[in-house]
Amino acid sequence: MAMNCNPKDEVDGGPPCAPGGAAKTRRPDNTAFKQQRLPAWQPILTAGTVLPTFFIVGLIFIPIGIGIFVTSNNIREIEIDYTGTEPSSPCNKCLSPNVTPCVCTINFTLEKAFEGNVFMYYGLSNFYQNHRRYVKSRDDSQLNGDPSALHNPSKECEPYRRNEDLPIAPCGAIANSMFNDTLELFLVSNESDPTPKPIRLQRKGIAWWTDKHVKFRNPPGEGTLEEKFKGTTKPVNWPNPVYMLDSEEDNNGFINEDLIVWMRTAALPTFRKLYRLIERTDDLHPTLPAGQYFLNITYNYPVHSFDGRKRMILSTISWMGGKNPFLGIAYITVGSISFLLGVVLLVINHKYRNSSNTADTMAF
Amino acid sequence: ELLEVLSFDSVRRRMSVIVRSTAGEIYLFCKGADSSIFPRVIEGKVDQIRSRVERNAVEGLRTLCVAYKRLIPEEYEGVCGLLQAAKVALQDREKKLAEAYEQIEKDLILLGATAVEDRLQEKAADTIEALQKAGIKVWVLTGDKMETAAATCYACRLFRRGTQLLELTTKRIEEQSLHDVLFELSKTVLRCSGSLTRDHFSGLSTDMHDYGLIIDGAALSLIMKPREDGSSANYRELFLDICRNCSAVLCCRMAPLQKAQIVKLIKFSKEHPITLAIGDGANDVSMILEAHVGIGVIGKEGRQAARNSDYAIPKFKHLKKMLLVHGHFYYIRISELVQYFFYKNVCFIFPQFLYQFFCGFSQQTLYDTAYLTLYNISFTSLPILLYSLMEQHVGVDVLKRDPSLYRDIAKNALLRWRVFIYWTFLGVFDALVFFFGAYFMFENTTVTSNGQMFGNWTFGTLVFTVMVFTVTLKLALDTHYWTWINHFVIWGSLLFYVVFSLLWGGIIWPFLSYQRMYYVFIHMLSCGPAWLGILLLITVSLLPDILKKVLCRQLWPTATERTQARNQCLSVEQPTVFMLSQTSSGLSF
Repeated sequence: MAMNCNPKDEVDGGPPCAPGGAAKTRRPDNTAFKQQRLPAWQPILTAGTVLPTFFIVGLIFIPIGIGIFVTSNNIREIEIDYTGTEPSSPCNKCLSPNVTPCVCTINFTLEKAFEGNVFMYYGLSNFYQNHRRYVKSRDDSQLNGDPSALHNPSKECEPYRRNEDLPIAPCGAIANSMFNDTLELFLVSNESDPTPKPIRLQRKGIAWWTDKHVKFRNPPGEGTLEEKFKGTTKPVNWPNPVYMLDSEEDNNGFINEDLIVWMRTAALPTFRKLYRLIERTDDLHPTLPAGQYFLNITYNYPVHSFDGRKRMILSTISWMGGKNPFLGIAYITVGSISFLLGVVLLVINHKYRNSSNTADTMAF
Repeated sequence: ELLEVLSFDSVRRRMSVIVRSTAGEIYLFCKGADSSIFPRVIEGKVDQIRSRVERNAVEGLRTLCVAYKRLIPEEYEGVCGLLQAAKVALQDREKKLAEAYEQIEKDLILLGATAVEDRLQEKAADTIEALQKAGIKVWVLTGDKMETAAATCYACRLFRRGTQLLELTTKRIEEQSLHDVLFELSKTVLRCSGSLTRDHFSGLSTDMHDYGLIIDGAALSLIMKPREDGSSANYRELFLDICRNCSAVLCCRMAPLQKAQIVKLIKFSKEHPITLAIGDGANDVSMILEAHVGIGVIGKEGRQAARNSDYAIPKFKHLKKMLLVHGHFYYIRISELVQYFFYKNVCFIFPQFLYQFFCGFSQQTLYDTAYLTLYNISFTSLPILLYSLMEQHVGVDVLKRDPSLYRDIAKNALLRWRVFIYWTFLGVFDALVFFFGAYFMFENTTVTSNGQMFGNWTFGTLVFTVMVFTVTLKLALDTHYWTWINHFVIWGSLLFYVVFSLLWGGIIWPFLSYQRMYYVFIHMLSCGPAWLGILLLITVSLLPDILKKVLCRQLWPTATERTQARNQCLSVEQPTVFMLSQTSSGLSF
């Protein structure tokens, strides 16, 4: 809207037109992609599309939840705390033992029989296996059998890296604090002979198959395990070196399953780890019949200094694992909420559709 | 023969040339706005030409007056000398030149007037109407005289037939004082504003009072002049109050700097609106630079405006698609981008934070470092990138047809605190669901069928898997325009995550110093409760958002949502609609 400006103001900044030929145009191509006209599906989330989904979710989740809950309820589990901090506990004498190793016994009763495979766990509380400096204090290549790492462990293992000028195998705080209580289970039969029957505890099959056969390997070489670990020393707090963890060769050294289970750091400060398996005998008799049992504990592992607690857990397992009502309850809750919301939405949709219909008719 | 040129400037609104005719006589020819020529004219048919000019202006023609003067050689020498001195002055050159021009251009003889029909660009009226329907206030700032500008505004439908024009011009201010004029005007508009609804649809209701304000440059400078008694702020406030209640404002006789001044005034007014200035000439450059968004029209008047602008368009009509379609799309896309980025990172980091309460505050990370690094780079980056390039929540033609949809995003509606807090809340809720869902599943029990226990890396991987799936599915729920590219990136990202996890944990990588992730992902997926848990947690996380979307769409639909529903209805149930309308009309009789 200016008054007639001087045309000498205009200086053409653009490209000059080539005489005769077509000037190079900067116009984008008129393709569907570049002009954003691609064919598309345009869904919208209306009540009509979502209502069936809510009902379906409700109808699917509730039965699943009930199934899981019932399964979980059928799982038998018993927990025996044997820390021994109460003066009345049998293991109280092991808190400050006069004689090592200290052995204590706890009696308990199973109300109902345990059928199928029974799993024996040890549990610890207030033990932060997930502390950052603890978690990184290990050397995976040493545990994988790498000979150079065997004699020269990684710096992450400090201060549990070398002891008396020899490298520690296995190095690190995780290995150093390995759980070393021994638990034994005896059944007191009510019949004539009063001697307690020991329950057979399986040592193998408690660690992940891939851990035992791939991730953890003993160092290579000929000769006995002791020779393979020559030039290293045991972790500071262990009673015996690593090649004396078990008498059987395929459960000794780094591939000892107790060590492998311990090296898998737990997620939370209250955890349990698989200790032994009790295999089912036959289908006629329950694995652990109801009755009196006693637990023999070789109390080596001190936890009272950091207010930790120790316990032994016996549990049966189903397809969904151990006794955990959370998943079942959560499914039932979510299913019912979803169903309820579906009903509410249906009511709202119905009322709204009615009111909009009346508005349309009135408009005419 | 051309001797001198006294070049144009917008303050004095005229220009002159000094020529020597073939006979050797020297003439000074001057052309310019009538207001600047008439005072300097001493003879000629002044009244006749003045009335002619007025009539032309009312018809909407651009008028110029031409005058001349004969110079005798001594006068010419004097003129030359003055000009020379002014041109080479080292200080105050502008002022000296202005004084020189002032001295030279006087005692002229009026020759006549010219009138040019400056036709409106095609579809200019359509564009302005669409912008007003979209809730955008349109102001016209021009250097033309009042009559011309008013005629143009009527032609481009800025002022409609029912628009009541209020004038804040020099003429009126000479009659009453500025104070009184302002008060009177504000009373007029504010009287009716109480009965108006908050955002009246301009043009749709005929019984509402539609006000248009005309103000000219001199009046504006009076309002803006700083006064000693501090009343200038009041005048400005009053002026802005009046403007707020008018549907259109026309500012005529504006000098370029005044155009910028008024843009600044609006920018810093109470609501801090976003301003857009569009112009095509060099005198629009200052306002283009001042406004938030400056658009230059590449026109016949050169490229000055286009060069100084943020965006350059070839024609005025392109403004409609630019704002209503492209602007709308970009806003939707960018607001979703911003909100989604904050949301997905809240989902990412909050479980880490919660974990600290359970790991003795030792900063142990919940997820493996590969996951930490690749979350924002590989697993969740492409879906939102392609969303913000391709999303079209309603179609292009619908947006062009219905400018009132623009009101749904007015005043930065999608990036307000309320919306942001909703997204953050959703992120926190989702993070709590992920973390505590996994926590209660893992707490103190095993989830495998062979009794073996999981460790902390499995715990973190479970949380991470649920999280990646949830945030990606949330974006999938928000996408309204599914091209093959969207399908590819969304499902592809999820697939990439799974494949990456399988590979990362499937091999003992020799370059890694730790093997903590070995087989973790595969082992996690091999137990039933993990799958059930993932399914449950994803459902619980997405449920509130779906519910909120459906309820809001049902109970409080915005205009955009209604349009989306209508389009869906129409594309599916075309014949039913016709039948219904026939039947209902039948019923009403």
